[in-house]
Amino acid sequence: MNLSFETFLPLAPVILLSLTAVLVMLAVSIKRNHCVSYWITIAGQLAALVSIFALDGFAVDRVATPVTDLILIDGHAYFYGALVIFASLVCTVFLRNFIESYGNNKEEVYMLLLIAAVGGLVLVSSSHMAGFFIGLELLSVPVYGMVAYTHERSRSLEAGVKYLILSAAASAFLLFGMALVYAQTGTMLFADLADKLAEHGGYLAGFGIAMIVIAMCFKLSLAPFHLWTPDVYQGAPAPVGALLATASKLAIIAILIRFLGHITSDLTAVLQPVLAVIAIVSIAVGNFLALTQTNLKRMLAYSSIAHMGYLLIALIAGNSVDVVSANVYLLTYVVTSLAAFGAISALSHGGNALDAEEVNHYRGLFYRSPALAVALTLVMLSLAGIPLTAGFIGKFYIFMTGVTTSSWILLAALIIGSGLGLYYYLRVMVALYDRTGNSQADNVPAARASVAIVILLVVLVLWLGVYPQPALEFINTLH
Amino acid sequence: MIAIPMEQGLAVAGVLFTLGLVGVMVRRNILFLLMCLEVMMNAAALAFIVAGSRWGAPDGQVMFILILTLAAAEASIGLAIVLQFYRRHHSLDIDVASEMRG
Repeated sequence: MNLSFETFLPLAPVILLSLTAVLVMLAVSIKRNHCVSYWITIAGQLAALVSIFALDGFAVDRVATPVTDLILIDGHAYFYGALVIFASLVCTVFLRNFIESYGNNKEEVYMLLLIAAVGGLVLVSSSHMAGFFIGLELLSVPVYGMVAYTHERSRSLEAGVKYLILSAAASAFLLFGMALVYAQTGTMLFADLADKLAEHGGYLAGFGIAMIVIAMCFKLSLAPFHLWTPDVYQGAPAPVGALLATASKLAIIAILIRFLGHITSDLTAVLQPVLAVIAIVSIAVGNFLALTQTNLKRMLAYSSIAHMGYLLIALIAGNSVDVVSANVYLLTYVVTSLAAFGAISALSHGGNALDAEEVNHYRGLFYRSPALAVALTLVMLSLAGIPLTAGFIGKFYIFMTGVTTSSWILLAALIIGSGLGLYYYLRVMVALYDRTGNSQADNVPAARASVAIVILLVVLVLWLGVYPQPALEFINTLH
Repeated sequence: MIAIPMEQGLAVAGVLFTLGLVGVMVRRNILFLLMCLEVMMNAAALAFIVAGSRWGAPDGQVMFILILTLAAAEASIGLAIVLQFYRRHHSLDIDVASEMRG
């Protein structure tokens, strides 16, 4: 194979982000300066984002370009890549306010964030099991460190230990599954998988694919593999929670869509009912357990389990993955979740023992910080899927997928789940405007930059909800 | 040299993997948990070697090296967390740190 500059050009975003991580490391080793590290991180991510557009990542006539066997860059890879960078960029801003008051070393967290973003980019564009594996680990391993970063808090440490052990076990499942598929078929290329499976098919490969799917369900925190999610979301610092809920989830969904697109139809026929049960159980477990939560982070964790269940409907209803619905849903979910965790980050400080995470913290927020309270209200409406917000558009697309494929049971789960969701999201909203509300004690001033970003995200939520046409047309042109 | 049949090699890997998995589920000491994870990873690596030798291709060995690298990275982060854990709780029992519920 002839390797030249042009071969690697489509990888520019990955290379730029990796270089930024090295730069931050060098800057830290020369002189610790929070501000410098922060701006290098921001600049690197902006450059990576710009490079996607500069490479005509979204041109209508672009063809999928392979970079060696490991990586295939197409419109979807760039779309998910841009979303991953956007999410990590927003998390960087949240992190700065949060980590400013943290007593220990502050700068390394940006390095970990950048490496995780690189992992996300590799994951969404990989077309080979090795790329899949490297991307996934590059995404997960730095996040262990980020979850346990504020290790003076015992909850952060506990969450780090739990995430490390369970996530590593899932990785082992993934690897063993890959080994079985390779043993049976002799290929690790996604593109060859369907042919070789049809040629050599057998129980070993089927077992291997089942193990891979289990590992993916674990990373997406779908029930019954969701047990780690609430503890990790609660214990992790709020900005890290934002990264876990958005960048990490969407990169894994992207690779799952690619992977499912490459296996044979008789295997899909076996997987479909299993995944349908997983989707329904996730929706039920997520919504029912969220009902009783008094901790906002924990509630968001359970609601993310339910949201992943909704998203799974787009992947399994009908004979093929409904990529457009999945993309629309992911876009709306990422923007909304970022805003939700952003609001928590804005009120939390790394120096304190706990984040502003109890619903009681938010009682009467409207009278202390009206802009943030209104933003949080709109975010909750969007999570519940109320019309005129982004969440509604996402849910509407999933609903349409269900209707066109006549998956009535899945649709029933979606509708009942959304009804339940309304209750606990409304409870948070009511607390925001409760005048009898408490607490001068934990009256932390909201961080300005984070509030500004949250408001921007909420404007985006409203824009997607009121005038979704441009975004939908854009998603339809991806290929 | 007598070639080892693929089924037997995979069976050994499967037994190792199961041992590791059972260990992760029943052990409560974090160090042992990390070791059991290592066993699971290495079982997968062994399965790759066996699969690679069936197809006479280097891919399995390449994956082995990648898995080795990952296991090292994971152990380094894991041990860093274990150090902090021991400093705080003066114990390596994972149930000591279990304050989040619900």
